[in-house]
Amino acid sequence: MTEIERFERRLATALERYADEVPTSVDAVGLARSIAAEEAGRGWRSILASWHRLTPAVRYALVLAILAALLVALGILSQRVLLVDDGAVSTGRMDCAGPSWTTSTVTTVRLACQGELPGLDTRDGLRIVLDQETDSAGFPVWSGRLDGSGSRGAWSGDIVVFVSWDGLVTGEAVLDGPDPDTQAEVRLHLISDGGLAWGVLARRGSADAP
Amino acid sequence: MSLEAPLSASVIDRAVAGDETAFAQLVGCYHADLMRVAYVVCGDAEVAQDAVQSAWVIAWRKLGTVRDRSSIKGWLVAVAANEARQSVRRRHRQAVVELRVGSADREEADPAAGIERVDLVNALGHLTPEDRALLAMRYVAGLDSTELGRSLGMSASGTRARLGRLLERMRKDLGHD
Repeated sequence: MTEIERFERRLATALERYADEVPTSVDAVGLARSIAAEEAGRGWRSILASWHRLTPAVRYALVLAILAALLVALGILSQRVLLVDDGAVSTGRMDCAGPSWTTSTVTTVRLACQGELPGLDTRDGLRIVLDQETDSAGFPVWSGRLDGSGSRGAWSGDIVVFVSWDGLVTGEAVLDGPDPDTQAEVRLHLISDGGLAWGVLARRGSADAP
Repeated sequence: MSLEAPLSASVIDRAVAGDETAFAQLVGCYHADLMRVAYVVCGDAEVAQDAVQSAWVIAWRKLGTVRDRSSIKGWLVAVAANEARQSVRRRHRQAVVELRVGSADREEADPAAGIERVDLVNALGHLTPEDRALLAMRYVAGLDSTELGRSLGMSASGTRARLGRLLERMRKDLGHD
């Protein structure tokens, strides 16, 4: 062992003895609890402190912005959860692929929708083709065809889609089924996230709707 | 040194997730190590206590940043040493030079066998808080050069070289050359 190694060993021993002088006992549970409680309150306190540092005008603007955001969120949520009339025979949702459109940029809309609708056979999907028109009051509407198919045959019919003042896109159609005596009256809501809320309002005949 | 076994990764994971009980286990396991290191850096039990308290608050907030669970002790010791170092600098006093030579029970039993406490305290007082932290982390907490390097942002070889220079200096200061 070299001299420096011997010294290192003596220094280590001396340092350990010196360190032994300090009390090391602790109420670990109490310390952990107090730190956790302190840190939990710290987040809210810092937010409150930041809030009080703002000028009244900025606070007022922030409150308005938060309320506006809440309203927008509620609007979006209502579109997401809005389904067809309560009296529908069955309801469900589909996912649609297609271009986003507005009254000024697109005249023809093609949508291909997929998804399981409860109690309905939509294995091969749903296709909607819409052309823009103007109704008698001068407002834009889209009308076209809706075709759906599954293992039990095809359904099709004319569809008219309206855009309400709040941006809700609602369509109605009467679909002829695979048999001459089969018909379904449907209503659907196109949702801004690409979904399609779908409801069969009434059905005649024995075959399943698409 | 802590007499308890190192904690399992699951306890540390739970502490990271904000589990108070797991965090209490962490405190119970490593508090003594942290106190001893902080004391060597500051030389004052109360200052060390405050520094370690701050270290545990930092640990509660930032435990999730420790990727390697096996290096948790090294990380905690480095946080405590850093807090102690900053406490010394904040208080603008070299607490380690406050000698308590009148306390006979702290003297070495056989002065010839080792380093006298009074000499050690004087020698520590001539070091910077950073150097005291390095000595404490190495010889009190028992971190190796890799762990020391990680906490100091240096390579293991660089840490060994710095430690070697520090040892030489201590040896001269303590009259062991």
